[in-house]
This record gives sequence, structure tokens and C-alpha cells, in this order.
Amino acid sequence: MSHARKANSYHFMSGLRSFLDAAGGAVWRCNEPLSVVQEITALQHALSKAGRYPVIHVERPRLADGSTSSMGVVTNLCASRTMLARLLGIDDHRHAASAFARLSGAGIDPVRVERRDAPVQEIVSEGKDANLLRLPALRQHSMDVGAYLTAGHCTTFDPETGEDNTSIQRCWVRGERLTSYFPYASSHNARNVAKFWARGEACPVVIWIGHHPAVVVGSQAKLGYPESHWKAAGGLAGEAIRLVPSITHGDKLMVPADAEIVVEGWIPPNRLEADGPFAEYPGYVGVQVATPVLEVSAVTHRRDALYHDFGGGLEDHLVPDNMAMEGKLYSLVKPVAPTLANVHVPFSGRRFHAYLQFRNPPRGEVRDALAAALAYRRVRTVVAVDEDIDLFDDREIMWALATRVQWHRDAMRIDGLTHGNLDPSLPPGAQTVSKMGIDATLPPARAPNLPKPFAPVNEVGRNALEMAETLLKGCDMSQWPAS
Amino acid sequence: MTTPAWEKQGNVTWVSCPDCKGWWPVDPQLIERGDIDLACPHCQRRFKPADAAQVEAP
Repeated sequence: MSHARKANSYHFMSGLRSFLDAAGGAVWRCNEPLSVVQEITALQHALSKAGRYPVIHVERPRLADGSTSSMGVVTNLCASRTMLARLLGIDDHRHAASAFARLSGAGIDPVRVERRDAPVQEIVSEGKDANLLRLPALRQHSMDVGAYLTAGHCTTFDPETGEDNTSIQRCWVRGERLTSYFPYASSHNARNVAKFWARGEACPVVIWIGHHPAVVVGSQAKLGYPESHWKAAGGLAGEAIRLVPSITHGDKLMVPADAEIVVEGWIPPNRLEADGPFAEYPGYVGVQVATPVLEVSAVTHRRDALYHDFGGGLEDHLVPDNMAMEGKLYSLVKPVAPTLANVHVPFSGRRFHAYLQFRNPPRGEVRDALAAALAYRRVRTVVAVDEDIDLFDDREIMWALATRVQWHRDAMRIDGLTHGNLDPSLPPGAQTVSKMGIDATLPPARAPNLPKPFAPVNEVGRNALEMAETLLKGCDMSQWPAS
Repeated sequence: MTTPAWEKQGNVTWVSCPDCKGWWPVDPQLIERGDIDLACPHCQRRFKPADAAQVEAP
């Protein structure tokens, strides 16, 4: 049964459309009828190569059958660290680590609203009227097995405590009311599914798509288990997330009232199907695997819903999670290493590398910090540097490695640790992984007022540098060789 | 003969579709199970692992 309902006339600050309205020139509105098959994703690749990260709003996407979708597609929403940090109220994206740790730890409790106040339930399609094929889901890359929900925030709950968990998981749209469902084995949602299956029960699930980017990023905060993400997301977004009971599961699984689209359903016990290949975050194709499936019971959406997509393996996909990882690493390391100044999880290392920065660490503390950071499942290599190294410039990290490291002294390998999924370098059948911590800091000075016992860095005077920068400001550099 | 630890080995198993002969990477556990249909990303054919045109393990 499909039915439409008029929502109360109000404006919630934190919806996707309010963000798009306010974002001005940061949004590229494309009126070309771009295909959902690779063409929209190709735009993201081209922009990534150019080093530009506008939000992309394709107003009239062309579906795989050649028809035009009534829903627009929004992608590249989270590709810019600068923009995301600003939305979270962080003055500079380079301060994301400590800010994430502080804001997600503080949290703001969600509030419950009634259905009449929930735009996401303006249109409700249940049973045979629910049809995922109406969504402009993208088939992003040439070896993807089909169209995927890529920005689906999947929410399940722990049957023992009732505590919910939210995580982005890929879902291959296999039919009108069937998708694959791929939670990593170590994920909290996988634990919830396993608990329901151990009881011989289907696991209830909701997938919400499209929200204000601050909520999208906030909901990816790295928490314990079981621990709801609504409070942390509210903390990061700066206001309470408005929740409404789902149509299928009622109060047991709430959904964001201000989302664009919600898919509701069940994960039937012990039913596995093939999923993938799919272009994944390491920049390689993830192999075809056996995963659970999701049987859809209802689809709800706004009357003029927008479909949100994450570009697989692109900045759009990695930046928000990497910023959340920075917050998690900061929380893990700071208690054992008080001289930790900052953390960065660079796009170049996907989710496998982390850089730690220290302010005059005493002997031993950097190694304590490396050990703590390496314990975080996803990270495989951690590099520690001093304050003079720009954590956000890979060339400076390479310079520190080249000039401050003796491998026999400064490399710390630990074998047999847990690992993140989809690591393309893992040997066949490996259950654990080798990790490396590298201390690329300078040796400490004998006393605080003495220079460090190391060669000084080449420098020109500040006045001379300022003069040079002033001189260059007026120059047309377009014809100058870039490398 | 034991392979020295420093010699790199591949880690991806490839499958070829019985219809279009296209190749794609598959988790070896999915092939070992044998009871789940593989799905060809090139032509959408579904088939059991035993019916693959070719399986190339590392």
C-alpha cells in the first residue's frame, strides 16, 4: 500500500536540502542527464584528479533503462575536509582529531518526534508497493556487479540490550525488494545480526539515506559496543537528531525524521548470497563474497527526495571516516602519550596509515603511542613526527622518514594483530597482519633550553620569505612548469 | 620445496564466466562452498562455481 502525507510546515536546520541551499558556490548543480551507470562517478574521478571537491547535485539523472529519475542524485557531499570541518564547527580541518574526540564524547541526546513531523515519512510504500528500482542507485565502476546503495546508514540493534548501532554498509540492489547486505565480520552490526541468527530470528534493519553532512559524518563516530550513534552524531552536529519510529519496526528501530529516504526490512537467518565485486575504499576492487541479504518491507521518503551516493574509493568515501578515525586515535593515544599534539589519517594511506605529531616527547613516550595506535584494528602503519613536520603534507612525512629514521632503531614491527577488512596486501587466508610503527621524531635535547642534538633545517629568514611571497602574488604562473 | 618468505605470492582467485568468458575476482571461500551462485559482473549470468569456465587460483 502506498500513501502520501503532508508534513507540518517547518524547517529543520540539519537536513540535506537546507545544507544545499546554504552551501552556495560549493555545490555544482548539473542539469545534464548524466547516467547513473559510471557517468556521475566519472565526474568525481575527474574532479579528484583536478584537486577540486564541490558537492555534485545531478538534478535529472538518467537511469540504466534510459528513463529520467524523478529523484536527483547528490554525491561528493563529504569530499572536502575543509567544508566538513566548517560544518562541524571546527575552525580548521587540521584540528579534527581533538575536536572529534571531544565532540563525539560529549554528545547530545536525540529527540523523538511524531510521524506528522517526519518529512522522511511523507511517502510510505509498504509490501509489494516498495520498489528499490525507483531509486537512482549508481553502478559506479566498470567491474561493479550492479547498482549499490553506497550511502546507506544501516541501523540494527543488540537484542540483548536494545541498544542500536549505525554504520554505512554497501548494499547491492538485486531486485525490487531485495539487496545484499555486507557488514564487515568485525563490525558492530555484524555482531547484532549474529545474535539474532543465533536465536533463529531475522535481524530487523533500517537503512537511512541522505541527511545534513554534519549528521552523516557524526554518525560515523567510532564508538564502543553496544553504544548508540544518535547521541554522538548530535554532539558533532551541534543539535539533537530528530528520530521517528520506523514503519516496520516501530520504537525498536528509530530513523532520522529529516533523512531523505529510508529502506526498512529484515535480514533472514543464515541466507547468504554472492555480493560484489565492488570498487572499495583501498582503491581496488573488492572480491565477490558471500553476504547476508536484506528483504525489504517498506520504503519511505520525502515527497521530493534526493538520493545520496558516496563515490567508492574516492575522497568522498574516505574523508568522513578518516576524520572519525583521527578522533578515535586521538582518544586512544592521548591517555598514554600526553605530548601527542595531533593525528592525521591521510587519504593517500586509505585507512591503513596514521600520522602522529608530538611536542617534545620524553624518551619512550613515542613508542608507547605507536603501540597504542597500532592496536586500532584498521591502522597498519603509524608514523610519529615532530611539530615542525606538516602532518597534512605527505612530502614532509617522506622527508622525515628519509632523514630522521634508522630502521634498526626506529622501526617497531608487531606481528599477529587484527586487521581491517579489504586490505589488498594480505596473504591468502591470513587471519592476522604485521603492523609497523616508525619513530621519525628527532632525539630530545639534553635540557629544555638547549638545541636538539641534530642538524638544523635549511631556512631563509622570515622577512626574506614574506618578501618573496608578496612578489609572487602578482605573477601569472599559468605558463610556468608545474613539475 | 618451501617458498621463501620474501617471495611475494598473489592473493586473488579469478573466475571466468561460462557465457561471456569475462573474468572477475572471487573469495576462494565462496568457491569452496559451492552452493551459492556466483554472479557475473559483465553479463549478469548466475551459476554455481562448478560451472565456471575457468578458476585461476594464486
